[in-house]
Amino acid sequence: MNARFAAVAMAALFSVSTAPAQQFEQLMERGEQADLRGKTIKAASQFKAAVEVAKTPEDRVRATFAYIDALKGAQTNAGLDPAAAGQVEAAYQKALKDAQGMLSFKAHNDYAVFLLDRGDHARAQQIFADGVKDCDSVSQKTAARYRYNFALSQARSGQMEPALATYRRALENDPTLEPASNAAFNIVNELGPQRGAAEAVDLIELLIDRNQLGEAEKRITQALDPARGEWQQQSAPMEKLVRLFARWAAKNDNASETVKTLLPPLIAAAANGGEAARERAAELQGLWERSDLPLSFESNAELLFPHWPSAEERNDLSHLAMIAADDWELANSGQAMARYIVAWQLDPANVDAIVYCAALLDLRDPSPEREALFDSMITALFESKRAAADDHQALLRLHMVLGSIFEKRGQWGSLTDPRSAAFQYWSAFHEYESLRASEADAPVYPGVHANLGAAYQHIGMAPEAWQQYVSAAELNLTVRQIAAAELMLERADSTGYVPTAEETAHINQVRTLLRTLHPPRPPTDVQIAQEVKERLEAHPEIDASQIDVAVRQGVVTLSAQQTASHSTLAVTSAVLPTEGVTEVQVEVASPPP
Amino acid sequence: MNRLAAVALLFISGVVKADVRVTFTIDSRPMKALYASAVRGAKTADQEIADALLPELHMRFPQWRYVTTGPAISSLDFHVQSKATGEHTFSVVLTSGNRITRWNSVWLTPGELDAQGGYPARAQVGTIIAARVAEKLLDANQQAIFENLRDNVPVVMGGQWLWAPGRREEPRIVLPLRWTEAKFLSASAFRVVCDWPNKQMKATLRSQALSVAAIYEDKVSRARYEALALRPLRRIVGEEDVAVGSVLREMDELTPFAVFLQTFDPAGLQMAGGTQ
Repeated sequence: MNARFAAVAMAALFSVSTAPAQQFEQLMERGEQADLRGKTIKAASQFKAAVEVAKTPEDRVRATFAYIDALKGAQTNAGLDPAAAGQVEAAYQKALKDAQGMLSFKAHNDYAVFLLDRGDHARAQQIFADGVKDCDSVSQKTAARYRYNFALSQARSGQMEPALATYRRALENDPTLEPASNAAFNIVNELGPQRGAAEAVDLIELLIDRNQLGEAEKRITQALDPARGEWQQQSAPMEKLVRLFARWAAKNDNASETVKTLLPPLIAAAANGGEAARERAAELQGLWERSDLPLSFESNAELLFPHWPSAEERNDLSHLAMIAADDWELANSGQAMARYIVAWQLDPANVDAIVYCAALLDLRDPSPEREALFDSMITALFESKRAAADDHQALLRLHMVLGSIFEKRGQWGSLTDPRSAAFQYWSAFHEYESLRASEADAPVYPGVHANLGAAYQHIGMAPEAWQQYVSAAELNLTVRQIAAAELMLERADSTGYVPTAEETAHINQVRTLLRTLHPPRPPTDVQIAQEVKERLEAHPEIDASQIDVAVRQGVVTLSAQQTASHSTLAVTSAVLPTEGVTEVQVEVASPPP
Repeated sequence: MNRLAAVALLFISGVVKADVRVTFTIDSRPMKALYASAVRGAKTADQEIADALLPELHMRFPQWRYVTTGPAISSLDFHVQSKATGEHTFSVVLTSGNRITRWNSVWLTPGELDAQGGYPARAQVGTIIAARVAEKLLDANQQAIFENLRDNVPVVMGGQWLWAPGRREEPRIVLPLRWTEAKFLSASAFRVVCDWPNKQMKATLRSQALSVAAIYEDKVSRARYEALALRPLRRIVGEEDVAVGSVLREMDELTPFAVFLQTFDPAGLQMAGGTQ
């Protein structure tokens, strides 16, 4: 076979295998451009031709979907004339036959939506049911949309209970899908008070558990509407709604204002809902409104909330107590602290409750009451350490707050005295070590080392202080806190500790890194002038008052009276070693005649 | 003044970009004192943090555009505050027209500032604070912020008809959004609020983005570029909601002026009852 013949044969083969593919893409491109210009009839004919030449099922389905879109144009499914609707339906059936995987899922959805919009609810429901098995193999958001459509077909067929269940599944897939939430609550409203109230609180629970707090707030507000008195008389759902209100508020960083707005209608609604709901709501109200909560670690918060028995409920209440405390902080810090204590008593693992309480207590004027509370808090600390042994970050913060309180009082103490800064900073350091060991991306806290360094220095443990300061400097360098790193190295020097050769090599490495990150800046002319003046003043043989100093770009000009007693050499040699000085010029002025 | 009226006023007064202005204010007294004493270049610490927030916002809410200066139709005003207990909180207020929404988040609980060894150095205040705001405030409230932006802040102002009035073609709207930057919106649905001067009212066009680019011609700069185009599907005027296909003759009476995102949906599944 000669070369020319081979080339022709290859070209023929190539054209056989590629021409339809090229033709397909050209037709699709022409169809898209026509569609872009609103020429949907032309676009439809191009896409239809593309369907005919498509070589793969995927291409065929892709072109079919484009063809359907062009056929529909700016008409809705319901608004299509019968002829166009027939063409669209035939195309969907073809797509359903050819499509696989995600395209099959889309074909099921879009065809069933078409049927639903055309009023053929039964067939739509059947197609949706055929395709719903694939919901597990698509994204949660896509599955949610499919299920929403499916539920609508069920609802339009009058099957309200299955529709509600499917809407619920849609919300489980994507709790942000507002149409599903709206449709589900619309069905709930149709169910009437007895059945509807239970379903409504179950849906609210789903929204809260999926962190849809805004949507949950909307639905709680609706449920508390005074017009829904009959619904609120359903005792079990009403009691659950009060519980869910606490859970919603506990999860919500922005709840404070809304809680205050919703509490009165909650109390009013709960009054309709039987004793359990009423009691729960009243206790919740007390958390917000009582001004006589005991400011004592010896009180028993469980007595304040007898209708909130489970640990999970008490944890929610604990968070709610923190929000209430924050609300009380400005008006009455004592009652704010009382709420932090309640929060801690309800959930001893809520270390932050003690952290905030300690921080508030520190702001109070000294008094025997304050000292007594402080003592109780130290005891509480050890209980918290047992209850929240793994919450290293919160325990670290608590030790830091307590450490700073003892530091302010000058109680450096010892590593074994819990009522001392040394113990608290040492404990904070150990919590930090545990935090770093348990979490790869633990925050960088050089201050923990710095404070422990200060404690060691105060209690005479210079080598340990030196090490902590150097560690603080190193950590500061990792987060580019250059000035803080410099300060830590100065503090290491200030301990007076003489490091070993190995330690000296280590600190030199730190210093080298510091210089690399932050080379020292040459002094400014003003700084040089200041330094020069100080050197002249310090020199025993020079009368600095007789000399004027000027500096320009490192060149120092000294102007002296001829009568001055000092020599030029003495002046120059005093000034020249100053950092930043490149040249010294001495001008001697003749005395006035 | 309602939200649309406010947007319209800005549009008429020459603000054609749907930019969101971002500010940051240090309300914490110790932070203010620390950063005020160290002026670095021309920018204040507040400005540096605001600048550093722009990429964080763009990463989380890429559908909108953010600026730190100049006129804008809405704003995101961030603040940091501190209490005597050592607690520091971030907050952000989204203002669009007369609608104001606020979110809060604790940045530092008592004890944490000491643990980290104080505030970030002046040289790094922008990047560090912006990263913490993103982590503590934006990530924690991402869904709620997105929904508020979607419902209240246009993604772009204006739009051109790609359509010769009186002809049989269906209308398309080309938005002043460059295709290279807006291609990720080509499966999304939008609400295009239009003026309808003949009837002295507003109409909303529920529209679906197209997967191919069209040419936008900027009347002021005369620039022509590939841009995102929409297929209007339904026209809503008050309670009336009709298919665009049934009111084609009235379409050229509408002037697009504010385009809101409706669903950002890369999945592309149809929903029953038309575009949601």
